This record gives sequence, structure tokens and C-alpha cells, in this order.
Amino acid sequence: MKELAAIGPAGQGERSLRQLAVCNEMTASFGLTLSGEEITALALRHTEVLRETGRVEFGEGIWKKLAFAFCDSPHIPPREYAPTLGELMEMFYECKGDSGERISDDELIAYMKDAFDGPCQGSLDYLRGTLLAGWSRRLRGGEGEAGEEDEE
Amino acid sequence: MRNKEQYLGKAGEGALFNPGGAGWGMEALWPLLERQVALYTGGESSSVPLETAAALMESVVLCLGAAGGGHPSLAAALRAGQRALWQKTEETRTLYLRLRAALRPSGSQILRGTVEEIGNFFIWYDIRFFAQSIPCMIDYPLLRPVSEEEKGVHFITEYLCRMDWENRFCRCFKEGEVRALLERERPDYQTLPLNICEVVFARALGGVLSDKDPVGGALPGVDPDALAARIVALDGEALAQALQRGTARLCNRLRLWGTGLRGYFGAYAATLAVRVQSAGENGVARLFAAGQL
Repeated sequence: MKELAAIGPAGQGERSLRQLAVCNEMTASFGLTLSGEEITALALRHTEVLRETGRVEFGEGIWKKLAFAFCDSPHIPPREYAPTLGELMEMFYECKGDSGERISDDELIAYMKDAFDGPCQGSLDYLRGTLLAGWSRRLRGGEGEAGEEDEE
Repeated sequence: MRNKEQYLGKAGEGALFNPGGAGWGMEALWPLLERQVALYTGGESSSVPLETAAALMESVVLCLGAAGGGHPSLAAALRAGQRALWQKTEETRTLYLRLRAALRPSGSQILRGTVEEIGNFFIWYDIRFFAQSIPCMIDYPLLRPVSEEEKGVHFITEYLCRMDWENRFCRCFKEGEVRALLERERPDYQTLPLNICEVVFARALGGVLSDKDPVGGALPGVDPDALAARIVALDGEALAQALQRGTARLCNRLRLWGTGLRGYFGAYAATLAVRVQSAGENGVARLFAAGQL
């Protein structure tokens, strides 16, 4: 099965690079751009995260949707754009799996954006460790370790 | 772990999906898989778990294998393959309904339950995305199990064919005698996953081999001396052939003419040679009489 992810469509990484370059054109007006090195690093990390989360990606992927959703966030300074985008990408795939595939890409990205700009006030740690974790658990119908609900 | 070349090698060389000798590399199939994922997720997810992708791909390959040749594209072949599997499913449903109406489980709850459960296959079978799936529980063991290499409707079709043959064989004998034999030799047969045809076949074959042909639906007795004279001195291939000839004669006496049925029981009989040989002269008659082969 992992061979599916390992080989994917020819040029999975190349497609990621192209999409990230396209994102630049879209986000530049918001003062957010990625350097060539950052694009390469994000594309590599994207491939790694797909492998780590046991997923295979098709179609256009999620870079454009993520970049478009978050480019107007007041909590992403230009110098933090690349690492933030990378962490958001990781959280996205983790949550897709943790939620038992019960949420669409658009719904998840919308939730992430609302939470990031709202309760999280730009904190990626809070977004990942608290809001997304709890939300995924509720989507799966309350599955999880005993006592976690009480701790929250 | 396989390397990439084993999947994307030249056509016919190490290609992963090579049903029927046609080699399709992963790159050729990827667009089909991509479309299937989009349909499966309703366009709402750009990624799926590896297991899901693998299952969707397995379904694509199964459908392509059913498509035959002469299609202008893999996409057209996929559609043709899905139609072919749908057609086969409809034909198998007809077989199922006929078998269910004619089934004589002789008290076996597992047999009756399995046949009822197979009805769920036709409700839940998903040709579109998971053509390899078998969405029902199969508990009743056949004389000769269907290979697990068979997938989806192919498995169910073969299973029902074999069950139909076994049912037709058992119906050649009076229900009361079959039940009496089962209750004596397999007291738990009603609630345990035991094949009932095995016992009946062994008794009937033992009778024919000892020159006691079945008459009027009665299960024949087994003449130990005649049986021993015919087969005890044989071993290996000669014994297997004697058992197969006996099976052919039995089918003739029962007027069971289908080549599939005769081949099924003949192949099963040949597998009994080892046990017959091990029983020796003193035990072979009991083996056949009690269906303990």
C-alpha cells in the first residue's frame, strides 16, 4: 500500500512545487510570498507528511485552498508565512485521518481558518492540541482515550 | 518491499496489474484511480487513506480484467468491465434464487443461514468502487472451498455453483435417510459448520465401489468385502483413479450429467485417496459407511 504513496502519479513533488508557485501569485497582494527555497522545503515536507499520515493525494491538492483561506489572516506575519503554511498543512492531513474521513477538505479548512483567527488568535499549538484534537474526536463519535473529555 | 520498477516496468514485465496477460503500469492506471477517488469522495477530498486508494485500485483492476479487449481507452474498458460484472451479478442472482428455492439443508442451520446471508451480497455489492468485495458472511464449508484468489462476484458465483451441485447430489437421496445418517455420524451437524454432502457422498461412493448402487433414493449400504477387494490393494494414482471412476459411475446411477458437477465430485474423490489408503483393509469400509473420509 505504501508503494501507492511512494510512487503516486509521476511528479507528485513537481506538482506540489507548481502549486506553491501559483499560490505566490495569489498571496503576493497580501504581502505573503514564498522563496524558492521555502517552496522546495514545503513540497518535500508535503510528501513526507502524506507518507507519515498514510495518505495518497490526487487532483490539485490542498496548497491553493490553504493559501487562499489563510492569506488574509491577521495573525500571519510575512516572515512566518512559510512555517505557518507548513504546520497548517500537517494539521490538515492529521485531522482528515483523525476525523475518520468524515469531513470534506473545504469544511476542514474553513474550520481551521475560523479557529485560527478566532479562539486561537494565531496560536498553532492551541489550534492543533486543543481545538482540532477535540473536534476530530467529536466527529468520530466520541472515540478516544478515557478521561480526555474530563481533562478538557 | 517492492521497488518502483516492479510497478512501472515495461508492459508485461513486473507490472503490478496484469490480469489476463495484459500489462498495465501504475502510471497508465493512475488517471482511472484519480477519477474513482473523485467520484468516491464526491469531489470533497483531494486525499484518501492508502488503504482506500489501494482498495479502489484493486476494484479498477478487477473491472478491467472483466472488460475483454477492443476498447478505445482504459476508461472505456473500465465502464465495459463494470457492465460485465453487473451482468454477471444478475446471472448469479438468478442462480441464487433458484438454489434458495431448491435448497434442502436437512437441518443444517449453518447451511440455511449462509444461503440467507448471501442474499445480502446482492444488496450491498458495490461494483462501482469495490468490485472485489464480498459483503456477506460465508460460514458453510464446501467440499472443495473456492479459492481466495477469486474476488467479488466471481467468488460468489463459484461458491453458489458448488453449493448447487452439492445440493443436487444430496437431493438424489431421501431426506429421511440423509438426516438419519447425519444424526448418527455427525450429531452436531445442525449447529456446527460441517459439510453435509461429505457424509452423503462418502456413503454413496462406498456403496457404488462395493457394487451396491443407489436405488429409489435410498442410501446404499457398504459391503466391506467387496469394497476391500476393489480398492484396498491400490495406492497412489491408481487409487485416486479408482475413486474417480467410482464417482463417475455414481453420477451415472444418479443421472447427474453436468460436466461441472461431475468434475467437482471427481476432483473431490481423488483427494480422498490418502485417507482411504491410511485406513487400511479393516477401516476403509467404516470410513465410507460413516462418511468419515
